[in-house]
Parts: sequence; C-alpha cells; structure tokens
Amino acid sequence: MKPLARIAAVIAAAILAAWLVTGCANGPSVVVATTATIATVQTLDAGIAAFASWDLLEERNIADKAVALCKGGKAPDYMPCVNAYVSPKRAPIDKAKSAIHVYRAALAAGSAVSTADVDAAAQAVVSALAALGIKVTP
Amino acid sequence: MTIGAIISLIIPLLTAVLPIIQQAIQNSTASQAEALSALRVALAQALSAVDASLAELDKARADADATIAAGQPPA
Repeated sequence: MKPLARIAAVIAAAILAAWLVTGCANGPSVVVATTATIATVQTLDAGIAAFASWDLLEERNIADKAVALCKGGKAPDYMPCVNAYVSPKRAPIDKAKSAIHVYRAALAAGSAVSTADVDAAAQAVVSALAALGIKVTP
Repeated sequence: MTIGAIISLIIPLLTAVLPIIQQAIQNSTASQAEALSALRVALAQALSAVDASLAELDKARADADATIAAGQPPA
C-alpha cells in the first residue's frame, strides 16, 4: 500500500472508530437495556400479583389470630394487645408495599425515568418480597 | 505528493464510507425508537397491574382491620 493510501485508510478508520465510540455504538446497548427492563417489569408484575394474593390470606390470618389472642381481655387492653401482635407481623408486608410504591413511581414516570432507575426500584421490590418468602427472579 | 493528492484519495474513501455510516445510524435510531416505544407500553401495562395489586393489598388490610374492630369486646 502506498503511504498516502495508508494515511487515507487510517483517517477513514479513525472516523469509523469515532462513530462507533460515540453515537451509534450506544444504540445496541440502549436496545438491550430496554429489552431487559421490559422483561424485568413483566416478571415483577407477576411477583407483585402473587404477593397480593398471598397477602389477602396472610392479613386475614394475622387479624384472626390477633382477635383470638386478645378478645378474652378487658376492652381497654384489646387494641394494645392487638397492635403488639399485629405490628411486627405487618412490618415486612408494609416494607414490601413501600418498595412497590417506589417502584410504581418509577413506572409512572414512564420513559422519562432511566431503565436503571426502574431496575433499581424493581430490585428493591424483589428483595422486600424475598424477605416474605416470595421469590421473584427477573 | 501534495495535500491535493492526499485529499483526492481521502474523498473517495469518505464518499464510500459515509453512506454506510448514515444507514447504520438510521437503523440504530429506528431500533432505539422501537425499543423505547415497547418500553413505554410495558411500563404502562406494569403500572396498571401494580395499581390493581396495590388496590388488593389495601383491601386486604381494610378487611383485616374490620375483622379486628369487630372482635373488640364491649366496653
């Protein structure tokens, strides 16, 4: 190859490299991240729905046990007794609900929020549900 | 060789490469637009599903509180 042709080839290669490094190389990563986020939210929807179904029975169970435990006492002692039983049982449920509210806010922001933010909020929900024994693998 | 000769070698190369770059950028932009559109749809569907689940959770809590209130002994 002649020296000048080599120079020209190097310049063209530099232009291609600059293009790859800057704008266009970003494209596939955006698509991959977006596709992963879609898979995450769809899987998490199913996990949250499973949590809601489980919670329906769990809340009923907690309430029934609290009533059975506390109804034999005097009226003024009833609510403190119930709260002492119910509060620790509800704490992990409320933590999961808080995480779901944060996740919901990320979803509500739509495409204005980054996929990384949605993924982070989703991960917090996954962790909170895992603490309740509900396994979600996005 | 003169600068003119160098340029005369570079220009045909750029002429050949630029349309390829332009096409790749267009393809990439279209892929990103499609992906973001799919994301918007998925987020909207997920939002609706989460709202339904949150409503179920609130109802479960309200029912539980009602059960607890009903169990309270008379004063």
